[in-house]
Amino acid sequence: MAENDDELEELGISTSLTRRQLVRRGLGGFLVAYAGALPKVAAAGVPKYVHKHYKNTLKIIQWSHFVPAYDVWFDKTYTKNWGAKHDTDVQVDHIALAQLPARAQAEVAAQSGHDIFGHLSPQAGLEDQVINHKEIIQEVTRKVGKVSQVGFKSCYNPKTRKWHGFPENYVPDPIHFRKDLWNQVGIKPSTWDDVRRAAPKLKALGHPVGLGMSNELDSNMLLIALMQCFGAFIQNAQARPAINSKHTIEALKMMRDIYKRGMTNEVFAWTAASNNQGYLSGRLSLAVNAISIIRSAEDANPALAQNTSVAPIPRGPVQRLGLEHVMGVYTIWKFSKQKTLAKRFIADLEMNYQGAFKNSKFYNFPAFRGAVHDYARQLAADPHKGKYNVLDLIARKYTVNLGYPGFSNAAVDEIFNTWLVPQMFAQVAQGKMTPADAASAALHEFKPIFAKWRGRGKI
Amino acid sequence: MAEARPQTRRFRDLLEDRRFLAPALITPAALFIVLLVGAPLVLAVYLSMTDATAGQLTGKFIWFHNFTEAWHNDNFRRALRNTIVFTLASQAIVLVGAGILAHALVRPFRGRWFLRLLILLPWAAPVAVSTIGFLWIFDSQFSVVNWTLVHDLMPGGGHFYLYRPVNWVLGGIDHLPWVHVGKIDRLNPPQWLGQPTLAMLAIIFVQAWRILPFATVIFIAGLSSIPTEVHDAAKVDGATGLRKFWHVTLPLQLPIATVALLFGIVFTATDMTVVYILTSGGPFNSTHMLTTWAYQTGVVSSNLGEGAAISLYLLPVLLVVSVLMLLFARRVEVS
Repeated sequence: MAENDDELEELGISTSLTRRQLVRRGLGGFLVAYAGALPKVAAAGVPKYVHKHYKNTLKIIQWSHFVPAYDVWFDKTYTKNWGAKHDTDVQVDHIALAQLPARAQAEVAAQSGHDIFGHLSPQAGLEDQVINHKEIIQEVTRKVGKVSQVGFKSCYNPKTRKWHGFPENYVPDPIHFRKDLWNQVGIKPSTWDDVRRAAPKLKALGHPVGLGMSNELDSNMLLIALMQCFGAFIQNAQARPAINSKHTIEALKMMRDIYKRGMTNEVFAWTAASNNQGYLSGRLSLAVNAISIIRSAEDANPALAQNTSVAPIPRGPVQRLGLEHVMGVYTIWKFSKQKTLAKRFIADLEMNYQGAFKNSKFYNFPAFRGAVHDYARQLAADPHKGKYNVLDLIARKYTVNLGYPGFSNAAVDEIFNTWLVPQMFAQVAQGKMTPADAASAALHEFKPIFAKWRGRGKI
Repeated sequence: MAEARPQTRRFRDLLEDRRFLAPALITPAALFIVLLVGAPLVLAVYLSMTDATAGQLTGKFIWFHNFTEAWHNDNFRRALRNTIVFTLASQAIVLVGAGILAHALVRPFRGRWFLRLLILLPWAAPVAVSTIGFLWIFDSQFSVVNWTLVHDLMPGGGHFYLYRPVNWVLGGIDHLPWVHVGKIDRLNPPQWLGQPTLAMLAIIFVQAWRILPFATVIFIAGLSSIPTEVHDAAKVDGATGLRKFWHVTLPLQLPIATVALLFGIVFTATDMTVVYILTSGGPFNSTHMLTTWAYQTGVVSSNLGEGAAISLYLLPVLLVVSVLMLLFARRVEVS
């Protein structure tokens, strides 16, 4: 058959396209197309890397900030100026906050990616993958003073004596509430009991309170903060699970009551944007969130901003004690080829935090208090008549680290990342478990996690 | 020059030789599977027996500890149950839906090709994009479904609220002794992604919506391949309607339907996109599938070994399902 084909071909009387012809013509076509492209390349020259004029490259990845002006300043002003001084092209990538943990794990798995990774919660579980950030801490401490307790307990592992991250900033987590509605019901949300009493009246007005109980960051933070107000904690100071306590049970009962009286089922499908969306749409009467809510209202709905109060977290029966809303932690991977430059960048940013503080519109509080030496005066000078003064109080007195009273560690990270606290609260609120059973079930889940990380020598 | 010709001819002859050509054509595909499926699978099996954490591809060998550890976790067992329910329920919807659609679309009518194109769109659209669309449709605060249910739909304030007739129907269902369904509260509308049962229903619905076009196309192909003589013969023998469907069409369509089902089961049981985007496993970790729980444990929480173990729980199940389905398909084909 093949011979016949050849003979016919030689005689030029082949009528159909043979397999061989197809391969040959395809290859020929490719070569012609490739050769056709060559003159263009020859004329234009070898493609050049657009930023080739800089000697170094530093890659950073962090979240898309809730205050967009911050990203504009960071990407177009700060990093450009810093890069010019250090002969470095600083490339900044932004991703949604919910994607950060998975992205970090992907870079670790690939052992490549960015030189600096900006997390929004401490990542003690990644301790073995990052450098010891002690050197940067020491340099910044010499220049601006001591790191805050929140920063220290978020990023330092007392067991391994390693700084597994650099605490860049933390975000105070106030409540936002509608003055008109709360005046109407004649209550001020000073305590959690006040919230419980007001909730049914506010719901009857068509404006429920919005306290998330979902698999997302805001719910996690709020619910752990609520527990703290009741004297309940994930772990004790010795990093032993402490969830199954009468304090936790009381906190669970409180949340169940608030939900049944004054919330709707939407809180079980909460996302990181729900506080903002619900409050800014005019539906919610109270939300616990960083100041991105009121900052957005100032731009889009000044009347709502005027009608909004920002206050510390309500007091519980034991204390008033919130969490940072997010903890800005920079890490430098061990695989980074630009460790020295990365350290320099982080240290410089923190030692000159004034720009970050201002351009985040007071969202980012420096983890080194001395990095912005007059921030109380700046808060007072905000055009919105002292509305933000309370942030200083919240930052100093009512904000602790994730894992308080202990250090933030890998076990706490895992509990946080697998949403076990929102799960416990939601199960009680939806009547799937009693508070006592839920606290006991949570302990049952926490124990092996602590045992595992203790076994690995991390706590 | 004259000597070069026989060499070229020998090469051409080699290309025509089945013993050479067949392996040459199959090798790239085989290599592709070995490198991109086989090697990661072997690595996953190895990791599942170690205590490897993020960033390590090695760890202390701990045999089956990860598997037993996972088994004792309530969330894992819930995820396993959800995976089974999710797969079976969505495939049941797909089979019935695709059967009906295929029978409707196989007949010639005006606009058939356009309708076929529309039905294919969910399959052609990127899964992340279409699922984000559903995320907005089921949003906790701004769901278009809820908006339609609780807002006055009559222009000029005619006070027609869809939730009222829906509640009337739900009230009727509620009278049945073994069923309890709530009613729609206008101020507290259903949370499609915030209540465990509704969230599971939403996930199943979206997955069925995605897979349906694929199954429909396969069913149409199956129906089209049945020779017209068979239908004619059935008609001559007096078989019409359901009788013809049961005794003629269904048996002939079964092998190809089995193929669609097999693919559907594998696609669904191993899918994590729909669940991840819609609920991230919530509310209170009640809608996790094995895939999302493996991801949560292995990737987000850094327990690579345990995550690998969780994902491997699926392997024997899918292996058995695949073998059974292929055997079944073969038997039907032979008979």
